[in-house]
Amino acid sequence: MLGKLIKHEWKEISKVGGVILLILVIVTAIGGLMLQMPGMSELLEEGNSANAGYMVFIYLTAIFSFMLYIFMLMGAAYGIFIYLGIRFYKTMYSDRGYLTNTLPATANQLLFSKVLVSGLWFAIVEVAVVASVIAMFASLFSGLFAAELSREGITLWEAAKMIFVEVESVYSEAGLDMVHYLIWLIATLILLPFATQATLFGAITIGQLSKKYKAVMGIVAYIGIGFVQMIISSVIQIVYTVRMTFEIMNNPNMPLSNMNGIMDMNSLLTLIIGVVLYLISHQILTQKLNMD
Amino acid sequence: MAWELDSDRPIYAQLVERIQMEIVSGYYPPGGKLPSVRELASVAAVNPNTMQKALAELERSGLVMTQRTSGRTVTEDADKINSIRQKLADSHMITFLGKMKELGYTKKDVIDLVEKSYEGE
Amino acid sequence: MNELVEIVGLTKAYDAKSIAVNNITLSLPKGKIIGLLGPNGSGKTTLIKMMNGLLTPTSGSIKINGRFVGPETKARVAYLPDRTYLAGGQNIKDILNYFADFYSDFSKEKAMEMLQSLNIDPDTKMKTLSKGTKEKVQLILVMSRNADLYILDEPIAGVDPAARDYILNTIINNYNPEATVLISTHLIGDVEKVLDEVIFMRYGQLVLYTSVDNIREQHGKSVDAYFREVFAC
Repeated sequence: MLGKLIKHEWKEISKVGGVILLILVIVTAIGGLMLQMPGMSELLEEGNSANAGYMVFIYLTAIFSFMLYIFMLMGAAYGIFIYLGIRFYKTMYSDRGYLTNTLPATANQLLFSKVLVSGLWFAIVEVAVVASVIAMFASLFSGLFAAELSREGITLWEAAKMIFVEVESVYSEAGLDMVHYLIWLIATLILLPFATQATLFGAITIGQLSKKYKAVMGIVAYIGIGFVQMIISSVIQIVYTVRMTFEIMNNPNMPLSNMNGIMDMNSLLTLIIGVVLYLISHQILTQKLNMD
Repeated sequence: MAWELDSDRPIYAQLVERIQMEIVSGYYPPGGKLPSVRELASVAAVNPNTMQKALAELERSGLVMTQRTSGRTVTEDADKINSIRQKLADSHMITFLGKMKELGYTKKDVIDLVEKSYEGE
Repeated sequence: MNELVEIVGLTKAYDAKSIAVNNITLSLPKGKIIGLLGPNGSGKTTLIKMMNGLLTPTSGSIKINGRFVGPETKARVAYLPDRTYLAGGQNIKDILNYFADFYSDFSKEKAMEMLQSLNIDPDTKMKTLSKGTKEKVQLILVMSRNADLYILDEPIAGVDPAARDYILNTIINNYNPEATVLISTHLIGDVEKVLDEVIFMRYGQLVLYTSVDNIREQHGKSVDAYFREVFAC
């Protein structure tokens, strides 16, 4: 039963998810190629301009495209999130819910299949967004520095390593261990989507408890949970900062903040909230379901 | 086409009447096979349980019999069929005569009317 | 455990004033076609939703085939709700496959046969169908299941008279002495020849549960006429 639920959920979501991925790929490809345009690298270096009118054109195109690109990235990430939320609502609590909730499946099977597939697709889109940004940077730097690098005989790989070392030293001054950060980033991109989807679905399900305006109350619940999360997160940060301050007083050579710790804590908080909301959803579905 | 049935009276009784008519009129000949409960219910557009009840009633009265393997058949007993025919005819006659009396026809008037009607046919 | 459905002390109260179903105790046998009748707001739909697990009771219990309402009962109950519950973007063939996947008692062949006899093309998408056709499709899905309990909520209300005959005929032809059909409807006159028994509900309570022949014999009128008498305003 669970397998079947997952299969059908995957089939339907991948129709939309696939489109979003396709758009991402196309836009990234176009953008990447644009960065290779003649005049781009000159634009990004200071000074140097052959033809003022052309440069203005390039400049405007660059700004405009950049904004479009950012909107598209945000659109992809927010878009899939909103789509997954609406789909959950529609299949569980609107007319279609009459079918879903009379299937011979337990509440857990329904919830788990949806959190799993939605989380997976959200992660996929997130990773695609990051990959897109990396691709853009790669294109940018290869276009920008290609000439210079070949002059100085440095390969792209060596240049990348140099950048990495630079970034790492900046990060560690700010109290951020690069390796830790990368692990955190990967874990966040891949594991947290399940928690965020569970939270979204939980909020929508909590909204079902109200007698009227159930959909709106779902959104209200989501905002409320976000609010609560923010408060807890701030409290954690204050605690950390206070602790840091004391430790610095004893050991002045310590870095100024423990970014890793805070980021870990926040991720853990998101994870915990996801689990709690999942359990709440299950409780509501089995004890307090009130289909209209 | 569903049978014309009156919801005011028990349906099964009306089904009995109709099937009796069909047997007596030869639509289902003596010894002939009746359709299954399901088929009859479908044609009549009634609940199969109701049709079952009607058929059970017909079995009780001996007009219909159940064979082990081949379903229900009409009795071969011509007397039985005739007695039902008689009963139905009597019943119609009583109703007819009662109505004619209401209309004020005497016995002679009624006989004249019957003769004229047959001539007209 | 002779009874298919055992309802004991079932209550659904939204708050102190609004009690949709009020302490109903009722047992339904197998092999019957039963009408669930009552004016609007009598609690029929609430009762049906609880039998399907779409609503949790405030108190009391429902057992179907000896089990409390849950995934096992849902596998044995075929429900036709009073609304379109199928996704618009899917075509009928996809939906048949979906049902076949989730319900082991679903017969694709039977469904295809019925679709054919009604001239409905399985490749059409749900959203392009007229309301009446959508309802027929949903009915076909339910009748293609070999369930213990069929619950039909207003199966003929939005449908033309010819289709009504087809639907009632399908119910008759599908009859199975091991299963029970519960039909909730306003259109008593159209449906009563098909019923074995009727349940009358009002204000969330059970008013009457009897065979249709009892009503006709004892009161000398049709169920429709008797209903009007009982529920006259």
